[in-house]
Amino acid sequence: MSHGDLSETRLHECLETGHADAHLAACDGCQRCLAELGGFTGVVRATEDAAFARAFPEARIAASRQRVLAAIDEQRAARVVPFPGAVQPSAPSLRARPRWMAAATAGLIIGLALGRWTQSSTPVQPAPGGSPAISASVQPAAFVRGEDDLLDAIESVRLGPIAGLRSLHELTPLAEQYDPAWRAVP
Amino acid sequence: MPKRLRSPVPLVAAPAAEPSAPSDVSRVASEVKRLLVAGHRDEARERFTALVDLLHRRALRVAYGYLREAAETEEAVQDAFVKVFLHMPSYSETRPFEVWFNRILINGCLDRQKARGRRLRWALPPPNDPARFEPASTAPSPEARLLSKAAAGRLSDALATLPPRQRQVFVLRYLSSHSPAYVSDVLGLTEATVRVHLFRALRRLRGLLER
Repeated sequence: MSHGDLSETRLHECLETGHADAHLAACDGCQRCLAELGGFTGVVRATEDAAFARAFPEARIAASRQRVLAAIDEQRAARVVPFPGAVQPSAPSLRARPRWMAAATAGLIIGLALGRWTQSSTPVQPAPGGSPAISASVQPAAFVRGEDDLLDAIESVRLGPIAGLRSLHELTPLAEQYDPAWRAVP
Repeated sequence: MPKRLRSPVPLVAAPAAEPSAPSDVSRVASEVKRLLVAGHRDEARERFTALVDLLHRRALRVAYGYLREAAETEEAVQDAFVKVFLHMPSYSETRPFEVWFNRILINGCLDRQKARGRRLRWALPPPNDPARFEPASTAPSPEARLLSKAAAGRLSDALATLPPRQRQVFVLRYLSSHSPAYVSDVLGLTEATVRVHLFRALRRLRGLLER
């Protein structure tokens, strides 16, 4: 390339825009470069045309067109695209709600039954580190059958041996001076 | 990583360079849209056939430029047409329909390329996979066929080495024969940027193919 020759960029611009550069008209070298560039793009196009024709013969293009139309028909039948403004909040299904409620109710009943069965079949074990006096006297709520039973249970706790509380009483020996009723507690 | 084309690209006043074809396409597309909005879906579907006839072959060329595999190209084109039909009411008539359609098509091709890349990372095919090219339909001679297949193979390989943007521009301009103005409209680039990408792509391809 001599001084004043067109750059590759300029040559490409001439090729793309068809603009006739003044220098180009007078320079054989630049004309040759432009022709080479044009020839190369021509070869690329021709190669691509041939590859496309091999990949897509007319019969294949026609079949492909038919498949496109069939796919549109299929989608049209399968989907209804709602207009965005017309979308309504969907109401809960009438069938789904009873199903959900039935499942929840069944779960609740089964849970209650299982809980009652396990509590009634296994005796309450005292906690390893817990006070035996309290553990032995306290009845679990599941044994309370009625109002009288509940009161009995409360009484047994109140009147039963409460050794844990006795030690607390012993820590406060002067308390009886103020309230003699303390001694009344067995 | 190929960049997806943005849908709402700022409008450029410059019209597409192929005035006749896009205007026909846009006119038919407007009719289809009106019919769909009015609820005449059967008529819209019938009219859409004309749109497919106008765009189908060119769409195949664009998609083939990206995907280089016939079956996948057909799938990409089919997906694009279905998508366009389903979303036709959202088509803005201020732009040429073909631009909108090509963006949807190219984005679909880019997604497929990405998915293919993921597949290839897990299961590499043999480097010279004969299934990459379709068998020739009609060719003058086995030698000519072999030569043209070899040339197409070299072109495909060279195209695959181009950066995504250069490849997009090159495919639309030289393999699909769109004008630079149209390419700039589809890709949302200025014409000067398109020319720069074209020039770089050409220089790189020449270097690769003329070795």
